[in-house]
Amino acid sequence: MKKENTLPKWGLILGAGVLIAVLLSIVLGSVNIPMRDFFTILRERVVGGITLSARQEKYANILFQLRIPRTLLVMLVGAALATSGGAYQGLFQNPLADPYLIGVASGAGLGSIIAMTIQWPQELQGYFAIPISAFSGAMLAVILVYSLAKVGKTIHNTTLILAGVAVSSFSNALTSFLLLNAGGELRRAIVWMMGGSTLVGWKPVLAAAPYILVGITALISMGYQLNVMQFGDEEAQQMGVPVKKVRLAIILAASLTTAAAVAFSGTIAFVGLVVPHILRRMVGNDYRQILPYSALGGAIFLLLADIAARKLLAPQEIPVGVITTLLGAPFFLYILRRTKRKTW
Amino acid sequence: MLSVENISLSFDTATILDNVSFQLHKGKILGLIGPNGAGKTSLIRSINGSLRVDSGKIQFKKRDMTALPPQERAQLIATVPQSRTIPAGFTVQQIVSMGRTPYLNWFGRTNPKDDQIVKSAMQRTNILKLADLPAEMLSGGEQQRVILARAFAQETPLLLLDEPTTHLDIRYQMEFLALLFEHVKKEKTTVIIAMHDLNQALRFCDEILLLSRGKVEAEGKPSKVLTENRLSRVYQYPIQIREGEDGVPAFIYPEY
Repeated sequence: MKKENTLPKWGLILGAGVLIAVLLSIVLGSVNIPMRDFFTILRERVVGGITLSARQEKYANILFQLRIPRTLLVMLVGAALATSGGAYQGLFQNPLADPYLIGVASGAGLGSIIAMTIQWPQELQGYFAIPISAFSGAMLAVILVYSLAKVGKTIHNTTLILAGVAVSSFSNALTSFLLLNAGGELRRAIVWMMGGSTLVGWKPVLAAAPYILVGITALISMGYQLNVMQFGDEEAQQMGVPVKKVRLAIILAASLTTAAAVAFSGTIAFVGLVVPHILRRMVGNDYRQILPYSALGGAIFLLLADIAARKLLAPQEIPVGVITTLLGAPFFLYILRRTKRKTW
Repeated sequence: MLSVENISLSFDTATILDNVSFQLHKGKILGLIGPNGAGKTSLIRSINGSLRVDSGKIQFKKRDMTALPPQERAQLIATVPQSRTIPAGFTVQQIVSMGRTPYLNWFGRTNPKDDQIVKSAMQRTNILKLADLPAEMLSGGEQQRVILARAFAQETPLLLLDEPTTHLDIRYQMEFLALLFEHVKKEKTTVIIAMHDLNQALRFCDEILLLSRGKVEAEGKPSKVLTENRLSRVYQYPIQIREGEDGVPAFIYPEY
């Protein structure tokens, strides 16, 4: 009988991965900032007593006005999508449950657009109104998909994906309709829909962070209950899990996290599918590990995708959602093939 | 003592349980028998709170089982369900540890005492050497013992089992029942076990409850309940009983 592994090996590896990805994301871009200048600027800000050259002043501006807030936002969004994806997979006991595939993100997108057509997020109210509206849309979508997909006591791959596609398409159609009437902001909104961050600076980071951090913390705290729920609702209840409460709490927390991510960075698909799936291969099915590691893994994955989005066609930027989809869709087909053959 | 009083249950227009009443004293083993669809599973699921009865009372240790929150109920009742669902990606030990859930905090952290109970549950079910293996890789008989160990680890005074040996071959059936009854006799656990095999019911149970179409057809000592006439009528097939030298029923078999 083995003692539970006390040293979180994967936690250390993933933590180091986050640091490296953050560093890369800060220095790489349409303008690369040389490491030496980066550390000089850092020392100037922390210790002081150094005069920066004109070039370094320019770099400092790029760093603090653009790169660092963007890196933080991308980290938060990646962590949010991967953690809620992992939680949805555990809740639905289905490896294909991703915030996008099951329609939650589209619902959140519709919610955001509704809020944006009323108040584009230049104003302070937008930073409050949009996530809340996105959250309502996400909740509506997940409840709809859940009730549509449920056949008897189980949720099958096919019904889940079909219900997700139906709800997604419907909300996307409504979103497009609203966009056509939006007028001048159309281009921005389209880039947003493709997962391009059109929001720069610190405001979106500060607005998204509370929702995402609260949501992720809540989800991670439910790891053990999710483990027991892998036996199905009835057996979990027999083992003392308050199933209804836990399910509601997970849906609320996962939808909140997804909604905040979508509201501030648009449609970025497949992060919630790819990251937890890879981690499951490495650490097994213990959600006490999968969920926190997904947060770290999601941050790494999206940071790297975002660097690629900035560099591939520099100085032009590709919306990061395009990158994640190009990587994620083939991966999705691969999982689909596997799950046809055996359990996950 | 478990006391079930006049419970009834129906889905739409179908009556599943019809005024079922019985009492079971501490440490007794009750065999639940009856044809398919008689209501055995529904009775078990009513007692463990998975189904909400339309009327009637279920009391265990003088507490109303229908009103207890899941965690408190799980400290009193453990269930070995009919169909085995072993989720992938967990070791045997992790699964048996989940039996401790009603005693653990929200994050499921076990203390040394919990670990000892889990180990002892695995010893009693002969799966200690499998502790670190992924449970989904085990044979059906081994998996069923994992679920039994999980129920033992739950340390409840009442244990419900729904046809636990149905999918096992004869050797695993006997092994399973031997492990089960050794444990419950030692711990004085009260047991309700739904069974298909009338001979196993005859041999292992202190009392028999014969259900037919949701009603209690007979209840009492196996030798009293299990009679040729009654079984033949309820199962709608001629059934014969061979008596042992002491004149009590020894072997039940269908007419060929």
